[in-house]
Amino acid sequence: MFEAGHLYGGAGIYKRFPVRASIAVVGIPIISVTDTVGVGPGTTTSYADAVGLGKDTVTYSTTQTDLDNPGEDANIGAQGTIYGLDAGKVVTVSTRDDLELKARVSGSSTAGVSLTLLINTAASAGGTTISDADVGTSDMTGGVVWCTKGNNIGLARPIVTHNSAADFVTTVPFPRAIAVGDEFLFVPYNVFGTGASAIDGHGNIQATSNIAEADGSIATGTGGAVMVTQLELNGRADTFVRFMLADHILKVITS
Amino acid sequence: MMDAFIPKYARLGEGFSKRDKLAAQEVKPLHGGKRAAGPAAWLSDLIELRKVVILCSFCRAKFNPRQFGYRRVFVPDATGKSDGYTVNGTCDWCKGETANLSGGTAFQPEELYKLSSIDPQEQRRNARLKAKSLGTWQFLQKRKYENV
Repeated sequence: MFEAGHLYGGAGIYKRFPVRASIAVVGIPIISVTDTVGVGPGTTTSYADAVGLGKDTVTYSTTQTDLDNPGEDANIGAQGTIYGLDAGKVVTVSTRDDLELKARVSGSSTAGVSLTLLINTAASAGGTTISDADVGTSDMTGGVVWCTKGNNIGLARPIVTHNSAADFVTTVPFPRAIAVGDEFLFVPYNVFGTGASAIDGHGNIQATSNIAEADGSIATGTGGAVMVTQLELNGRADTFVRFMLADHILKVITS
Repeated sequence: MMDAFIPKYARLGEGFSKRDKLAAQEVKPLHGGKRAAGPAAWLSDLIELRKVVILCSFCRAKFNPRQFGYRRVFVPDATGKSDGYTVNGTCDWCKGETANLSGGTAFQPEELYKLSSIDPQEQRRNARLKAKSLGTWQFLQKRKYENV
């Protein structure tokens, strides 16, 4: 995941936090956890009490290490926290609560997989139905489908009905007829919604197993709480979703 | 006519040997060798651990990111309030708050940069490629909207 900017503009703010677990991947949400040791990496399904986006890695250890050892020098009390932190025990976090994160959308729970390609199997003169068994069984109602080959190339529509393993149906038709062989892609995200069933593409993103990308194969409304701000709908390997972390420690009081 | 003898080091720029002049041009190492929790030790540890380095506008000049395989972090700023290269925090050299010191700059190791930061040059390159690859119809549409 990347820093894509801030909703209200301006410069980023970086802070360092003590950790309670190793953080091996750069560019993942960092969250507070239920102990007083420090912060840890987000999970595939939760970014609750997020502190922001991690910018470097750290190995967690409870072994006492003298400051004379390389990599253990301290900068007492200088890191914007009440702690005197030493370099080997902290993670740097981009911590503004209006930070827009940008994640590549993967076609499975593993990062780096291309999106599922739909090749239309039944003509739709009215431009509302995209038929292909590859629409799958995960409920995509509330997501977005867009055309990558055919008469409607470059145009997108919200998915209003998902008939499992059969087709997607839109309410506002594509401007031209959908022909057999036209190609489409889809994601379980949308830039609006209420969170209610079938209008839930706006509020959740599930991460891939390494937490660095968004899992585009799961049902809408699944995963950690976010606010989707923008979709960059391109090809199978370069489609991105931009979002803000909904449950941020600087934004909501959760206890 | 009078002979004048100028002793070595008596006046700036005079009386120095080639070796003295070369020594003066030598780039001083950032780390002075002192490792008693001073700023150099803290900074060298951050670099050793490949962590982000944050510097204020005054201390930034002391740091050569290329020397350590670092690059400036870019965060797009839609409002144009900053140039995108401004990141605030606590300066890793002087401990000052960079917001009060003409703004800060964050540096990230090259090998980690593309995992969490946007490369503005790549963005520009992709945008140009897209513009070049537009079909006639798309190009006309784009021109039409741009001219409105």
